[in-house]
Amino acid sequence: MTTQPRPVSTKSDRFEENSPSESFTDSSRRPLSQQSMPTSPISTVKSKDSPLNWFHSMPVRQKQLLALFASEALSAVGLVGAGSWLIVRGGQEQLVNQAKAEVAVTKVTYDIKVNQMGFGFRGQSDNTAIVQAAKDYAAGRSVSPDLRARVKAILANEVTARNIEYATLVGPDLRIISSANAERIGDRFDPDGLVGTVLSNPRQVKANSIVNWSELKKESPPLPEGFSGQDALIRYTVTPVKDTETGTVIGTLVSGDIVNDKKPIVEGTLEAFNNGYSAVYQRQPNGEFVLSTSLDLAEADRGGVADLQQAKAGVALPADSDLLKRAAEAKGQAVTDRITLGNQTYTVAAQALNNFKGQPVALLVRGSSEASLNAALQQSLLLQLALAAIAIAADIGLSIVLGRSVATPIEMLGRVTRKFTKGDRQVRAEVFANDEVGQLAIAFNEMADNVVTSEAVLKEQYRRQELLANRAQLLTEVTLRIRQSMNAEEILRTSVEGVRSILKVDRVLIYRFTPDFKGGEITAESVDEGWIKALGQTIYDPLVPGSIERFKSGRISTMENLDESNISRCHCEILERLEVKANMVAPIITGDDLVGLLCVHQCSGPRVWEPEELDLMQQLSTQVGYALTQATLLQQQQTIARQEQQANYIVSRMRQSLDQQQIFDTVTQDLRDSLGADRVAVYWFNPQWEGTFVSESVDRLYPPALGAKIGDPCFAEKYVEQYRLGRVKATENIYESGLTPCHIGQLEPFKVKANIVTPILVKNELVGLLIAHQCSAPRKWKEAEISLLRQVAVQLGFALEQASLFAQREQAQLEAEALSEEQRVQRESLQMQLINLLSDVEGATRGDLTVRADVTAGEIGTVADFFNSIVESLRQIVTKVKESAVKVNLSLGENESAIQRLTDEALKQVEETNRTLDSVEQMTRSMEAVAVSARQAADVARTASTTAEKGGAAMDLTVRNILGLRETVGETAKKVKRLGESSQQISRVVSLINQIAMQTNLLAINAGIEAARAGEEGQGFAVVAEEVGELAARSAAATQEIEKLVDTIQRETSQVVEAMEQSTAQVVEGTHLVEDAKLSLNQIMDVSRQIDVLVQSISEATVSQVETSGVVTDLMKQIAKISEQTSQSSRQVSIALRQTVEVSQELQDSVGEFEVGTDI
Amino acid sequence: MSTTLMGTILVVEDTPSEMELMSYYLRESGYFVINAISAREALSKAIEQQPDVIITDVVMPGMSGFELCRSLKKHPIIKKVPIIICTSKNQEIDRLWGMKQGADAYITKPFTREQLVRVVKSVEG
Repeated sequence: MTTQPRPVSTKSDRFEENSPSESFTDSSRRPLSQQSMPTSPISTVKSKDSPLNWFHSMPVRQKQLLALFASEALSAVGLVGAGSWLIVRGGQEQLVNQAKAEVAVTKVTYDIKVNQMGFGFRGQSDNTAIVQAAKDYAAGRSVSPDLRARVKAILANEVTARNIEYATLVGPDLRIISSANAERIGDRFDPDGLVGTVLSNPRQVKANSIVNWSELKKESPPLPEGFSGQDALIRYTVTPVKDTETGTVIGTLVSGDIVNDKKPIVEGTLEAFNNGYSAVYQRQPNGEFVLSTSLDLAEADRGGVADLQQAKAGVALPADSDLLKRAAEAKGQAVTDRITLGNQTYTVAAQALNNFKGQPVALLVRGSSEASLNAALQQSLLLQLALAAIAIAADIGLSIVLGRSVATPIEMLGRVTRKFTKGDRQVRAEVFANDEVGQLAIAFNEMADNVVTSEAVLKEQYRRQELLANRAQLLTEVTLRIRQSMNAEEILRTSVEGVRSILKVDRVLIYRFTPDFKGGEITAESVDEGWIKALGQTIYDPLVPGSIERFKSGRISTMENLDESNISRCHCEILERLEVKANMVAPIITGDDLVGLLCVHQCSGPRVWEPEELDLMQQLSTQVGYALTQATLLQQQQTIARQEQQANYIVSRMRQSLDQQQIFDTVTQDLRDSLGADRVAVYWFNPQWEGTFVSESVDRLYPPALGAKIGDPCFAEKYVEQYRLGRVKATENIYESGLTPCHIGQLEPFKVKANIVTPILVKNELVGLLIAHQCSAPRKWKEAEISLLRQVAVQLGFALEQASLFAQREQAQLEAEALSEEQRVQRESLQMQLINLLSDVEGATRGDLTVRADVTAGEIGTVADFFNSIVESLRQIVTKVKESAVKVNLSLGENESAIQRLTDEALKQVEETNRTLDSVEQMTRSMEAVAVSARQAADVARTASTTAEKGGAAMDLTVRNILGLRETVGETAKKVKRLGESSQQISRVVSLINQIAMQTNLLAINAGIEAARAGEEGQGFAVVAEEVGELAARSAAATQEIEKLVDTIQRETSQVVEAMEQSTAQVVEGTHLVEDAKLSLNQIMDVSRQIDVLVQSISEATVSQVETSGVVTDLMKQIAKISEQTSQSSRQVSIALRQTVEVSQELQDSVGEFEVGTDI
Repeated sequence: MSTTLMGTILVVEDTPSEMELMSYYLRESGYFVINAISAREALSKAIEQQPDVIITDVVMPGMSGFELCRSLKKHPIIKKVPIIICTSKNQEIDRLWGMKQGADAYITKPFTREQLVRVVKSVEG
């Protein structure tokens, strides 16, 4: 192989990747290009795409020169450029400042005239004529014409003298008293309100202003030539005229100087500077500035003095300059710019002049010429350039000298090198000096020596490598050729040709062993002309086992000279026969088998085999072995492929049809064509394992078996299972294969000599046999044929399965189609039914509940009935609702009056309840009174009881007293009796006394009779006897009275006793009575106690009654309240009922919208 | 079969042939058969004669068998009478609906005599 050596690292790296083939080519290609790079570095200059290429290829001398020149030029240019730039900048800045200063000067010159004018008019304001005129005018007197003429003359004089336009005397009423030019007496004159300002604030005022053309025309002053029809920039001075005596302002003097086209203003500046540009711009009503006056004086030649007469007037600034605008906006500050006017460049400064109101009305412009600056700059630049040129010239001279000393030796060395490069290996460089160039030359010489030596070595190596490469290339070619072919013969032929051409020998042959290694055949040969051809010879040369092993190990055996070798005689003979003098034998091994030998013969004479040749031989034999292996494999594959192809062909044909019979016919036909058999048939089993030939392809020479039915009684038992498991039976000759006579007898009618029988299985069940017959003669079936038949049988089984599946599918599809058609019809019918249903029940949406959907036989029939049931229910509901509504309406009518009554009654009830409540309250009150009375009664009763008790006690006392009394009475009675007895004793005493008294009386009578006898002395006695007789008589009378008293006492005593006795009885009776009374009193006490208790209970009862009646009252109140509520509710109910009536009416109306029919 | 103690069956069917077949089967099996060719007629006959079993078709002009079922079941006198729906409507939904409407049994046409009689026997008594 001649691939370039690969860096190991690269290789290993690459092998880690997934695509070794790609990386292989990469890695083999890259080093090649890398290697080729250093082979010619001298001859070509690396051509980089660099813009400095030209510089690199320039000779050193020129380079040096160029570099020096460039550096010098750069420094010169830089120095000069930068210096110039700085100078120019400085100059320009200076110019700017100068221009600013000059514009200030311009302003001064501009103001000079105004100031002069101011002075002049201040003087005139004291002029007597003017003062007098003003005084007269102010005093309202008419100004005399003479005075007026004088004033006018003064003013006109001022105008002409000062070259101004206005000189006007204005009165305090702002009217012109006198003016210099046109007669304008009495005109109002107050430019920019200046006059008014001065009148009110007496001082001199100076102001710039614009005077318009109409005003100018009115005044018609002497105007500059060519000035007409335009506004003018004017400078006013207004001077107050004062009364000399009073000092009051009596008028103003107004002077006006038009700037336009008046040179003196600008001339002044130019005079001051001798050159440049000076101008005054005025403001137009539209805000733009136009030129009033200007003067441009170009700078005179160097040293000369500019002539003012040469100055050009009326030169305006270019329109594209914004200087004026900027100046107007700068509010009195000077602004600058560089502007070219004509052929001169000026540094221009501009400054705005304001009117009395502070608005910019005019611009002063001053341009300083740059000419002198430019001249100075030019001079400076020229000087610098001259210096630079001198420096560069010096540099060039230096570089030339340097170049000679360095470049010449280098150039010489270069020439030598070129010669050396062109192939002159003898040339050597001269060494002039020992400097770097000299050392370079020495080094070059050494290098040249080395190169010469290396070249020699390389040449030798190259020769060898070329040889090897040649061989290798040949080997590659041969290998390629060998590999290109896949035919074994061709491989061998190519090999021998190739080997002979590489090794340049007389004969190369391939000796192919017989399988037993006893001999072989020469199957390929390449032989030089003039030598014996050995192709096709069969040689008997048995190999000893040792040599077989040797060959198998791949060893090559060589023989350099036949004559000197010690090989076996027999072998020697063979070689001699082929005129071999020297040979080399390599084994050809395919896979692990030794198949032959690659023999190289030299017939012309002995030959020494070089190791490279041996290697080559080895490689070649190996390659041949590989190629043969591949060819064999290929052949096998081809056979298989062909077989597969046949099988595929048959299978594909078989698959074209799905009809079983057609499949059979196709298979039998195709199979017979493929196998070249006489008959191919399909033998089909029935369930009883009796077979029929259902399909057949048979040679015309032989009897057809189609339709023949063979019932082999022993088949079912013996073979079904075997066949089901895939048994394939190939019989070369049925007469020699030990078949039963019966079996042979079955085959004989069909003239069968040899056959192959393969099972046809469908779903692992034996359904038939695929049979190939050879009738012409016995046939040795090849494995491929058997295999083909087997494959076809298997495929046939599949095809049958497929066919049956297809049939099923077809059936299914047909069914499906029918089904889908049916479904479509069904759908349509469903839709029709639905439409019918919808049209049937449509009325229901409008409230017609008498609709009825037809209950059809279809699917929708039931749904229709579902609707019907809904509609029925609805109908019932609606009917009920209708009835209910009517009923509700009726009963509502009744209810309403009932409720009304209820309301009324409830109200009545309230009233009655209230009345009852009153009664109850009265009752309560009565009860309370009763309670009070009862309480009083109880008190009374209690008092009675107490009294009765006291009575009882009194009674007891009384009884006791009575009893005491009875005793006292008894004792009294006793005492009375004793009194009676005593009185009886008295009576006896009395009777005795009485008898004594009678006796005394009788004695006193006697004594009186005697004393009467005793006459007068007896008279004193007779008076005592008479008084005794009278005492006795009065005793007798007292005794009688006592007697009577005693009698009375006795009678009364007896009466007392009697009474006493009676009294005692009465006392006893009284005691009894008292006791009775006491009893009664006790009874009274009891009663009164009972009364007390009763009254107490009455009182309590009354209290509880009062409470109860309170409760009753409350209840009554509640009843009244409830009654009121009832009344209220009744009213509400009544209202609600009325609403209900309305609702019910509405309901009735709504329900009325439903049509329900009469039959439900 | 005995012909004495068998019940009365009201057969409601608008197709004369079907009616004939059913009547034949039932009479053969000993039932006394009343015919009605519309649901309305069936309703009045049922009220009049109070049969033991009512067999009705579904698909009939005017009132359907389902509606008949509902009407019968609403009627206080005959709501207890068992109803058999005998129809060619053979979907499960039909059966379900029929049973919901008050039928006691549901048989689909075509039927055999045995089926018919078995169903009748299953509902009567």
